[in-house]
Amino acid sequence: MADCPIPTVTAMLVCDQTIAEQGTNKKSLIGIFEQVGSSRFPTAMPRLSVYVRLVDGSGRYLFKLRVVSLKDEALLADIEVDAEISNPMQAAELVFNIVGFPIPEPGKYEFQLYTGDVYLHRVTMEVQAMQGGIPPWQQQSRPRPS
Amino acid sequence: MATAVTPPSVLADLFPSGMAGTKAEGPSGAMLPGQVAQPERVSKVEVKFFLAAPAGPLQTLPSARPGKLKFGALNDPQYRLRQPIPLAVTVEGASVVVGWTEADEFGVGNTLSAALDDFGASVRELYRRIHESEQLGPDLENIKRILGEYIAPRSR
Repeated sequence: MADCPIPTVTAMLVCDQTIAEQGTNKKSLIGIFEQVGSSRFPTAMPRLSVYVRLVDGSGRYLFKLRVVSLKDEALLADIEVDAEISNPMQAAELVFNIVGFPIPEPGKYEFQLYTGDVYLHRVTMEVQAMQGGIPPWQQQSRPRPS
Repeated sequence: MATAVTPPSVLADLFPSGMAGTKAEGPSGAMLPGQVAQPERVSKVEVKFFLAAPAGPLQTLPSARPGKLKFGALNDPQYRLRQPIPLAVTVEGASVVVGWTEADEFGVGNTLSAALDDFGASVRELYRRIHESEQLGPDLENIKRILGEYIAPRSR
C-alpha cells in the first residue's frame, strides 16, 4: 500500500443488496436508500450493502469500512478488506454485503472508507424511530378519512 | 420467548467494472445493449469484521475519531493527490478541527468527516488560487512548493 497510488472514490452508495451479474460483471444496486425506519431499538438490519466505485487505484490495499454513529462519533464496526486492484485503467468496484447489521438507537450513521490510515470517502444513513408502525416519511402525508 | 440472535456477517468482493455490448439487434433493427461475457474472474477478498463493544457496563463505544490521519479525499476532476496529506485531529468546543501544519491549512466541522470535507474544499481552492497568481511573496511561494509535493494536475 505504501507505494500504491491513492484511489479516488467516484461513487459510494448504501442499498439493500448489490448483485453482480456473472460473466458481464455488471452490478445492480437494489433498493438504494439513505433513511431507515424501525419501531424498536436496538435493532438489526436484515441486509445492507455498501457499494464503492474506485478509480486511479493500482496494487494491493487494505480497505477499511468504519461504521460510525455521528451522535458521538462512536465506532460501531470496523470491516477490513485486503484486496488487489490489478487493472489501473479500469474502475474497481468494492462491495460489502452485510447481514444482520446492529443499530443501537435512532440517529445518523456514517460508513467511512479508508485505505490503511488514509481517509477516502463517506456515505451517511439516517435511522428514524417509527411511531405506531408508521414510517416517518408517511406520518405527514396520510390522507384524512372523510 | 427467547429468540436466536444471528451474529452479523459481511461478505466483500472487489470487482472489475461491468461491460455491456451492442451486438444484439432488436426487432426494429435497432442496436440494443447486449451482455458480453468477460473472462476476468471476480476476486474474492479476505474480510475481517470487528464489531465494537463497550469495554465495561458503564463505558461507551470506542471513539472513531483518531488523533491523526491521512487525507486522501481530494475529489477533484482536475487534480489528484501524489501522496496523502497528514492531518492532526483536535476538538475545540463542539467543533472538530483537522489541521495540516506544514501548509498551515485546516478544516472545521461538527463531525470528523464534515471537517475533512471543509479541509478538502479549502485545499482545492488554495491550490487553484495560488496557481492563478503570477506574483507570489516568499510565504506563498513556499506554500505553492508544499502543495506541489502533494497535489498534481490529472493527465488528460
